[in-house]
Amino acid sequence: MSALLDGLGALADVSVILYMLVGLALGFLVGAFPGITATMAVALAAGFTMTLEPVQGLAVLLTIYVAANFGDRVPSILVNTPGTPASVATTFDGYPMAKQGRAGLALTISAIVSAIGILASVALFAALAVPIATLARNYFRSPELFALVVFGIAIMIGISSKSMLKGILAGVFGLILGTVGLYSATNDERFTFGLLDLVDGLDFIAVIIGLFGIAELLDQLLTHRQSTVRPISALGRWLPNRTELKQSGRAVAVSGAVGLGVGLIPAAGGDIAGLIGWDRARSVSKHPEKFGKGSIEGIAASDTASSATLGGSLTTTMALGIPGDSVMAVMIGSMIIWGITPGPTLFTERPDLVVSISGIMIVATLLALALSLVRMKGVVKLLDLPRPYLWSGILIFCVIGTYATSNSISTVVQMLVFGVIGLGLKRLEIPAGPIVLGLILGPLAEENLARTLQILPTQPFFSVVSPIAIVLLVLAVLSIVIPAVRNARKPKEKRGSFADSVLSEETFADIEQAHDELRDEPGMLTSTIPSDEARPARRSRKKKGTEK
Amino acid sequence: MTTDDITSTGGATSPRPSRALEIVAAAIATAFMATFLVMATQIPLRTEGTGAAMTARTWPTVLGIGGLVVAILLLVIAITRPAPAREDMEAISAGGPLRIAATILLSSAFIALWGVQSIIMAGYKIQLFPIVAALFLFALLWLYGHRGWIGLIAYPVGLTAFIYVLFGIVLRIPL
Repeated sequence: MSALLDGLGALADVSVILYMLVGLALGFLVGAFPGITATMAVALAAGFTMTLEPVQGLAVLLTIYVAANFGDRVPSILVNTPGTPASVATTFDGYPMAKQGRAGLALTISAIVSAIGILASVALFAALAVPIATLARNYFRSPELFALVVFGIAIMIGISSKSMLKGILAGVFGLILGTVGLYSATNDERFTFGLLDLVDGLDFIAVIIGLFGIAELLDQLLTHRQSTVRPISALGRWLPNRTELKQSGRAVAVSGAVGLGVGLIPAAGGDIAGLIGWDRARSVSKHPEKFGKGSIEGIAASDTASSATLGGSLTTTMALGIPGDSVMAVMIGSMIIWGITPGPTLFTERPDLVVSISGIMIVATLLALALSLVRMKGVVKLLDLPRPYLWSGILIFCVIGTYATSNSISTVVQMLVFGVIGLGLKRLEIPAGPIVLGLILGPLAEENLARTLQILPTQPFFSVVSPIAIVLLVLAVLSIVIPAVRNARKPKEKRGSFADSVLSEETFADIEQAHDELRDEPGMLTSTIPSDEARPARRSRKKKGTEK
Repeated sequence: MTTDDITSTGGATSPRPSRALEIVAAAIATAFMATFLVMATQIPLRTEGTGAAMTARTWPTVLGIGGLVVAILLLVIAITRPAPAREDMEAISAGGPLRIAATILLSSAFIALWGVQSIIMAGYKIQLFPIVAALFLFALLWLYGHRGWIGLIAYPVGLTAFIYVLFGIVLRIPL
C-alpha cells in the first residue's frame, strides 16, 4: 500500500505533468518524421534530462517512447513511409485506406488500437515486473547474471543483424568499449591513455547520442534527395461506426496477444510484433483476402501488436536489466546516471517505481490518444517541415544535450567521434544495438564472470553453475546459430535480419500485388505516389533498420 | 565509403555491392582487434599474482581474441566470396559527402569557439555561446540549402534563445 501511495505521490507534481507534455510533443514529432527514430529522440532527450529527478526524467523519456508510437502511424498511413520501424506493418493497410479516401478513419482506428495495446501491456508490466524481479533476485547469482548478459547481447545480435559475424563483431566492440576506465576489482587503469576523462570509462550518453543520433543524422545528410511525395490531405471520415469497431475486435485480440508475447523477448520490438500480429490476424480473419487492400482488421492488427510490445520491453528492462529494445537500451544508460540500476534488485528495493512507471505510461497513452484524435490535421502539415530546420535543430540539440551531461567539451568531442564511427558502421550494415548493449552490460558481465571463476575451483561445478545459467547460455548460442542457419539456407540476395524474414516472400508478393491492383483502380487518391512507391513496405522498413 | 558507393544522383536507389569496401572494413577491424589484443596483454597491473582468477587483463584479452577471430573470418569471407547486396541502404546522393564534411567542420569550429567561453571587448565581457550558436545554425541552414532570409535569421535567433533559456537559465548548465 505504501509503495502504491509513494508511486502515485511522485506523480502528483505539476512538474511531472509539464515534463510529460514536453515528452508528448517531442515523441509525436519524432514519430511523425520518417528517419527520426524513437531511439534517437530518447538518446537526444537523455542529454537534458540528466539534471532532473528520476521520476521527472522517466516522465519525459517514457512519454517520448509512448507518443512516438502514435506519431509514427501518421506518415505510414499518409505517405506510405513508416515514421519508425515499429509502424512498418501499418503501411500494408493504412496507406491503401488513405488512397481510398479513408485516411481519417485509418488514423483514428490506429490511435484507438494503439492505446488499447499499450494499456494492456502496462497491465502486463504491472502484474509481472515484481514477480519476475523477485524470481531473478532469489535465483540469479553471478553465473546466472553473467549468462543473462550474454543471452541479452546474443539475442540482440541474432535479431538485428543481417550478417551474424558483423553482429558478433558489434557486440565484441561494445564489450571492448566497456573495458575502458578503471577495473572495479583492482582499480587498474585500462585504455585511458593518460586521459583523466577516460578514467571513469566512456560516457554512455555521448556514445549513445553519437551512435543513434549523430550517425542517423549524418546518414540522412549523405543520402538525402529532394522528394516529390506529399502526404494525402483528403482525410475523409474520422470516426468508425459500430460495425467497423466490431470487425476489428478479433484482430485486436489475436494481435494483442502476439504483441504482449513478443514484447517480453529481449531485443524484439514493435516492428517484428506488428508483422507477426498482422499475419496472425489475417490467418484467423473471415476476410483474409481484404488484407493489404485497406482492411480495417489489418490496420487494427498491426498497430495493436506493435503497441502491445511496450510493456513487455519495459518488464525485461526494468526487472532483469536486459533491454527489451533499443529505446530501452538508451533508457538504461540514463537510469544508471540517475543512480537507478535496472535489474532484479530494482523493484524489490523501489517497488514504488513500478507504480510511477505504470502511471506515467497510462497518462502518456491517454494524452497521446487525445492528441491523436484532435490534432491529426496539424500533424499532417508538419510532414512538410523543411529538412534543413530539422537537421540543424537535431545537431545543435545533440551537441548541447551531450554537453549538459558533464559540462565538458571533451564529452561532445566523444559524441562526434562516435557519430562518425556510427555512420561508418551503418554504411557497412553493422548494427549499433549490440554495441550499446555491450558497452552498458560489459562491466556487469566481467564482474560476474570474475566472481564465478573465483568460486568455481572451490565448489562442485553444478553447485555453482545452475541449470538456469546453462539454459540461458544455450539460448544465447541458439539465438545466434538459428538465424545464421536460416539465412545460410536462403539464396544470397534474399538474406536479411530476423526482422526482414518474419513474413514470407509470398506474403510480401501478395501485399505488393494488392497495392498494384489498388493503384490501377479508378477513383483512388494518387497525387502522392510516384510509381516506385508502390512496393514500400519492405524497402522502407529495411531503410530504417530494426531500431524502434 | 568510396566513389563506387555512389550509384545514383536521381531517385533513391541502393548502392552497388562493393567487395573493396568489405575487404577494407574487415582489414580495419582485424588491425583494430590485433592492436587491442596486444594492448590488453600489456595492461599495467598494480598487484600481480594475487591469486585472483581474473586480473584487469583477462577480460580484455578474451574479448581481443574473440574479436580478432571474428574479424579474420570476416576478412576471409570478404576476400573469397562475392560482396553482399546492399539493398537495405540508400545510395549516397550527389553532394552528400560534401554536406557531411562541411557539417563536421562547422561543428568542430563551433565547439572550438564555444570553448573560448567569453571575450573582453571594449571593456565588456561578451559571452560567446549565443553568438556562436546562432551563427552555427545560420551556417548549417545555408549549407543544407535553405535560402529564405526570414528562416535564415529568425530560426537561428529563436532556437538559440530557446536553448539559452532551457539549458542556461532553467537547467543552469554553464553554457
